[in-house]
Amino acid sequence: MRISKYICMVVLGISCLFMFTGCSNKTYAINQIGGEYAAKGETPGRLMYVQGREAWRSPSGGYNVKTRNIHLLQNSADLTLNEGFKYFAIGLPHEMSNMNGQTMNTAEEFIEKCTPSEAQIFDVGNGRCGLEGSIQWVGIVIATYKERPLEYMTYDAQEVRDYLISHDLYRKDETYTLAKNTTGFQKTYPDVGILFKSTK
Amino acid sequence: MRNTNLLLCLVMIFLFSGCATTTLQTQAKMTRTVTLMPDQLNDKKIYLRITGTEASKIELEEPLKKALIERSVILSSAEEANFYLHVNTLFADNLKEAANLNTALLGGVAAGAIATVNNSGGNSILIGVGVALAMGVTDRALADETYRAVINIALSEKNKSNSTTPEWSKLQETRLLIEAVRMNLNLEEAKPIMEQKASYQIAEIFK
Repeated sequence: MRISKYICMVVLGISCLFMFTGCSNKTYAINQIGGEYAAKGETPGRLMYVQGREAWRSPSGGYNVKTRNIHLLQNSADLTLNEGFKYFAIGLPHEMSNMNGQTMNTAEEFIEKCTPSEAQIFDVGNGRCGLEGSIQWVGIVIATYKERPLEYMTYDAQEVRDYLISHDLYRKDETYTLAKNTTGFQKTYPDVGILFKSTK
Repeated sequence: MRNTNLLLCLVMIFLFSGCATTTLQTQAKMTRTVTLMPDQLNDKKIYLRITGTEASKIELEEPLKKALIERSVILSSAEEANFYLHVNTLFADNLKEAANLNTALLGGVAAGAIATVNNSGGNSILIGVGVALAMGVTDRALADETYRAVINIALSEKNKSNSTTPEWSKLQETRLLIEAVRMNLNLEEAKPIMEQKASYQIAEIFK
């Protein structure tokens, strides 16, 4: 009896280990891609990469993507402020890129357009704004600024953070970790070079 | 049989009603906020200059003058004015036309002319309409028609300290993005909407 109980505990322990291995991974960010003021346009701006992830793997695909994408926005605002900047524009993916002419620039608009309904339980159809609909992590490239650029719309990082806090959407369970290896993201966005300031 | 067909039609209508924007959706946003101090608004004499590129299908002169006058602005000559307002429409058309613009700019046919009027490079225009290219709006037969205007607004104030040779100092510059989206929206319908939105937004600076 005692042996079977012992075996059960070991099996349960190993199962838990497999179940939660994904939960311990952190989201990461890169606080500088290229030079200090590498973003295209006339206003000096710094390119960065930031990730967001699901709160927990719920049975609802819509809920997972919603929490992941909002976390992405939260980390974008936090990274911008923590690095001493005030505004950020999304550079990649193209579908949500302010640097390509996308006019969306508030947390409210982002949540409306780029997050699916929590009631949408399946993974199919949850992709929004160029972000995949079935993976735990997503990452975007942003350009951060101390003053608003002329050419395109930017998010006010403090306003985004305040909105998320006031609507109980700000997550304290996890923040980003600055990455030491800054080359991995290029697999996701090999065309990041188009966001760089022209050297002509 | 007839009832079955009718039912099928109704189901199809319900199924595909979400695919197109049946009501007109518009928005107007500025990349930067333009703010004037109360003392600057005491004497609202403005020298207005309106320019555009070949990629612009809107005419702002009349509606903008009307909107400014409604806000107690006096349109003056350069000598008498306190402010110089330069409104330059970089692009105003269906986003599907952005593909032609892109071709023209890359091909260099219209790039020279556009850059001259703009006082900026061709890339500057494409930033405002590039989303069309990125999202494939230009080469897909989508139900929605998206019209967009990208307008550069530069405001300068006359330096009054030197009365013999007045100089203009640039106060603020912003870019206005206007969008109108609806199924089957055509240029004749979109043009006055974009003109009205643009005129209102620009004139409100002087309210």
